[in-house]
Amino acid sequence: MIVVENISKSFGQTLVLDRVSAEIPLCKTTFILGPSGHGKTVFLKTLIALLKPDQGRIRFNGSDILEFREKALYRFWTGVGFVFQESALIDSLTVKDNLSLFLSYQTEQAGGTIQQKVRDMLATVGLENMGNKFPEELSGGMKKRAAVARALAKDPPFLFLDEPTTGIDEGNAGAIKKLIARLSGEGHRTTIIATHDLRMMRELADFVLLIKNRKILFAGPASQIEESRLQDLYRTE
Amino acid sequence: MRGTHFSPAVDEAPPNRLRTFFATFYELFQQLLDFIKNIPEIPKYWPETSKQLHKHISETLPLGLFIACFVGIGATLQANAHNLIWINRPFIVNLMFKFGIIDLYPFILGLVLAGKIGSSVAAEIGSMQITEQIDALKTMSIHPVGYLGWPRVIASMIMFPLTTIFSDICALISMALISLHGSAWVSYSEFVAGLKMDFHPWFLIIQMVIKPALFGFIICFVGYFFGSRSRKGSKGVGQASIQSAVVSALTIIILNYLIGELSN
Repeated sequence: MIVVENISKSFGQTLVLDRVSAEIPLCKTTFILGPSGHGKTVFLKTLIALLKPDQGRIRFNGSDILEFREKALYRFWTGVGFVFQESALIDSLTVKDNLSLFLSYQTEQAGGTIQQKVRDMLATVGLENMGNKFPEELSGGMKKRAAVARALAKDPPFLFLDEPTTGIDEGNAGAIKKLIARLSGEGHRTTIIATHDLRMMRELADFVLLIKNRKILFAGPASQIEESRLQDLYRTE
Repeated sequence: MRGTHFSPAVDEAPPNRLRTFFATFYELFQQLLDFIKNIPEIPKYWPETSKQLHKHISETLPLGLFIACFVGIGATLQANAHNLIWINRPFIVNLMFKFGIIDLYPFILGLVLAGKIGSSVAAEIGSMQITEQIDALKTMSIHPVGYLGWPRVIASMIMFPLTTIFSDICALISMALISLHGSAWVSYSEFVAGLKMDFHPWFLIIQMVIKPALFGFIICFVGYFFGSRSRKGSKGVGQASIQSAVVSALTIIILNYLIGELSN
């Protein structure tokens, strides 16, 4: 269980998360929904201590990751795959090198094994022929797929995806959804996705968190969420 | 309640200059500690250092040699213009060699590269910061100081002294050509006597190796520091770039003075 207790986060004078608490089940697919600018990304980054909250605790399997020293935190991140909203591929490296970065520097695997793994991951996301391209040569959708492949190359037990289908065409979004569906089906990975994509949520979510106005409005199994709550969530005030 | 459409970039209190200065100084110190903590990571990321070294060879060395030629020629012509008959010529050659080339050249190179290398490091790291590439490195358990910071700093600390040594040789050759053949104001024996006068190897080591290595460290360290704390989009990256160039240039001026003071 990932336990979030009383997390608050502000930037300057602006409070983004206000004493947020939730319990997120392991080995399930959790969706975080909420309007733009209401703290989904901040919540996602805070969950893995990429952003330090002003107060609160975050426990993964009982360990408070906010108490971790730097070395322990970097060790914890070896088990985390994170797909950023804007993909965040390292622009001075080719797609292939982006995928092999973690494996080359943080594992003892041989070069040949790493190259094979990279080829397999590229094939998984349908980018077999794009390995030697630089990120600037890829479309938005391809970048997202490459970022998903990079996160998966680590085979992490925790996978976080920030708006994986936003801003890309139907075809690319469909490919990513299929991939997420496959990952969810594996059953051993905890996947947490921040998105606006209600259709994807309905298809894939085991657990849902609704965030609005700095607070969590709902946290529970996807089967228990009412349609009226979702409509309220995106109603502009 | 109204929606909280936050923007970390624009939501800051008006800056208090004195507080900002001390806060920056404190952060700079923290960054230095971070670099020290990551010294063991240097060998691991050697491929990155090697890439940076190649970049320096193609970008810094030609510029250094070009500047050196003109420093040599300029120093010679100016010395010749002020050639006073009651000062012996070997002494003038010695002054040109020690002050114009060995002492002044690394300083000029440092200032030029503070603008070129320092601002480019700040812009590169800054744009990586605002596009979340640095966060992406962290999620891959790669420490940005180890992967991005040290390779740039090490490459500078190796290449600045090498550039200085090659450039000083180049400046000396251009000085010799102008002095002995161009304006021919000094004889070969006077020229050699001037170079040998009051010669101390430690002076060359300080000026051609230690000083440029320190300048190299400062330029890339300051560039990395300002780049990694840049915010507010492309404007922030531009600001980081300017701040890096100004701060490293000022530090180089002060350090040059201190080295001069200490080596006396």
